[in-house]
Amino acid sequence: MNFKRIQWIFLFAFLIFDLVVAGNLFLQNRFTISSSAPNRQGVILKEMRSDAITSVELSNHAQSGYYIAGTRSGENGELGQQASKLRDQNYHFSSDELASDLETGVKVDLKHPEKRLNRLVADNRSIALGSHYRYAPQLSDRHTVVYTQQLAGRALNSPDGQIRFRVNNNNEVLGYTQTYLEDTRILRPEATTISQQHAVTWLYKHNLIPNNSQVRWAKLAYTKLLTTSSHNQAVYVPTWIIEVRTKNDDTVQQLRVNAFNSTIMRSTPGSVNTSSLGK
Amino acid sequence: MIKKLRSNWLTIALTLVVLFSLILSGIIWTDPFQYERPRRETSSAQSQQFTTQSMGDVYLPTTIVRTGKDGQQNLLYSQRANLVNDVKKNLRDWKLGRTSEVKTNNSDVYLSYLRNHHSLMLNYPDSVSGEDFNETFGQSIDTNRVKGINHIVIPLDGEHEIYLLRDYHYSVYRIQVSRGDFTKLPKSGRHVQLIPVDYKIIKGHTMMMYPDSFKLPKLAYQVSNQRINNLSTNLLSTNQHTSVTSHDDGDKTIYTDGTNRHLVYDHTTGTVDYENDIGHSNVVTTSQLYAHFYNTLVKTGMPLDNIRFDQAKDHQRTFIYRTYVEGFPIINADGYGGAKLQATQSGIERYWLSLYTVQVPLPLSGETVKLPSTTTVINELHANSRFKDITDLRVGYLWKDDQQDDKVVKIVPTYFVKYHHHWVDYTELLK
Repeated sequence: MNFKRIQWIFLFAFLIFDLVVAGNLFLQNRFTISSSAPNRQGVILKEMRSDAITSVELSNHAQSGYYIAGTRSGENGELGQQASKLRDQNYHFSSDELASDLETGVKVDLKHPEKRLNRLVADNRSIALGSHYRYAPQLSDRHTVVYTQQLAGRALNSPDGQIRFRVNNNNEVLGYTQTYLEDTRILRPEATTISQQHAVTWLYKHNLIPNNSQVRWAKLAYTKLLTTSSHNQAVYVPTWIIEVRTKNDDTVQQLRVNAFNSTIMRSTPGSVNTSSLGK
Repeated sequence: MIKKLRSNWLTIALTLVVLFSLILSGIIWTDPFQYERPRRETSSAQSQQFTTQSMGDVYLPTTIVRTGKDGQQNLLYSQRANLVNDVKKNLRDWKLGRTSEVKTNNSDVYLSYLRNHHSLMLNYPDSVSGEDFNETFGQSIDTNRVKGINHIVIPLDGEHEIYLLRDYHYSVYRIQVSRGDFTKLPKSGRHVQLIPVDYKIIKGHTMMMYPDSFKLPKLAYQVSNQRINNLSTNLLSTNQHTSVTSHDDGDKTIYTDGTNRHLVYDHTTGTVDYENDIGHSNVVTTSQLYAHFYNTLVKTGMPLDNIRFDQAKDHQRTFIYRTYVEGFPIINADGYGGAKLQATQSGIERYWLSLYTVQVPLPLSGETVKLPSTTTVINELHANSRFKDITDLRVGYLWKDDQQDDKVVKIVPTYFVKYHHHWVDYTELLK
């Protein structure tokens, strides 16, 4: 009788010991590690939902990019050189922009103009340096099809590196303008950027996304950060470009966040005087 | 049979429970740090306001040296790839096992680990704690055993272990690798340049020497400056409603909040000297200073992109942080681009900060500087009477004070020597 009671006491004692130790070993580890930053962003996302802000699915992964310098290419630059190979079109340069009229129009599908134009862009007798450009549906509309230059694997979102095809009412491309950024150089080793989710929640926290609106897309692209006074070189930085549509009055605005230091980007890039560096 | 079971079920249950407890004890016995892991600093979470740089990004190795099968050592240098970050990402997927101590107090053995044939070595500018290593690489090594880390040696011969080296007392720790991909580690390649180096122990000091002369580019940066008003409110304002008052005194402005804190801003140099008497009872222990000072840096609001922990001194109670470019520190006499944080045992915290930092690089037309070999530099200095006061030597980028245009700066690579506790451009001493 007495022995049985001792057995009972031991059973309970060991059971409690096992549960506590096993609990500590297998559960606590995981809880402490996942309990910091992501949840905070989750809270903000919830707040956004209660403010009637809808959004596309936002990724939580940090990306990476570079500070890149480059110069607008003109008639005397690489663009001018490559343009001499062009056939069946009349082109001229005005302020580092190539404007060209095609001798025969190119018929395009309005929904997918890139199907036909990709072939045109790939041919270096039709488009100079075409392999550097990619179709940008977000920037295109009924009358313009835009291709953007690629820098280190990402689109350059700037008038400094674009091909803009004009589409007439018969769905024909009759001409285009082109700009090209040459001598592009990586200025500093690769660095991580903020995530898509971080950029959008940052804008929301700073009251830049109005209530009852929709985040339509958020893309990481290079935009111009500043221009320097030496040889018209400019510095480009990875930027989250976020398009927001206000549902009430149906206005659309594009917001830009510097993806390296999460600050809002000004619409006109700053400029610095670099003449003292030449010494 | 069933009857027997039924009559003895209590004994059987007891046996099972005891066996299970033995298994659990066994797990803890073989893998003790896993059990201790949950006790992390909670402070790092609260400070994660909107800074992208975590504590693990500030306490990061700055250089990578690859030792070939023939023992030849090369610094991996790249203007394009972020090699340390690549290794960090890779190591975060590794699973590390047991830690054991190999050998201490023997400089010859230590040097052989520093020069481990066919290996990759990551180097910190100064010793960091085991917690910092765990933060950076998402690991949970036994921090009671590993007191400090200067180098991480990853052998490439498939040994499935790595070594952590601590210069102090020449400690070597061996850590088993239960899971890890050695193939993704950086090699020399298209964007990676090799600069020959040599690890040596000179006068008890671990040093990286450059046996040949080599070239480094000059670099240009836009100078960004923080507003003094932001910095002073960041440091002086608290949750209590204390008001910050300021008064001018010549070239200086003194901010106080009526308590034990005050901040002196020097207009001519753009430097800030902050002092706070927190009292004896609130002194932060030495082992917690890494986290404490990281939180301080976040609080100041300075951009932490390229800020790295550089040095601990005064009995490990003063930490120096510097801006690093491509693995090399930027050094400026007024502390631009860096911070010096001190917490004394008597309860006084002092910070020396500067409003100026560099963030945005600018294009420069490919100017390079040819640096002589370390031996040449030492020989030149040897002929000089000041040689006896020199205690250390390193390569870094000089940010000169006398640049007229303070919006942009050109930084130039050079050797720095530690002369009377200050890093000085070695050419200054040769004059």
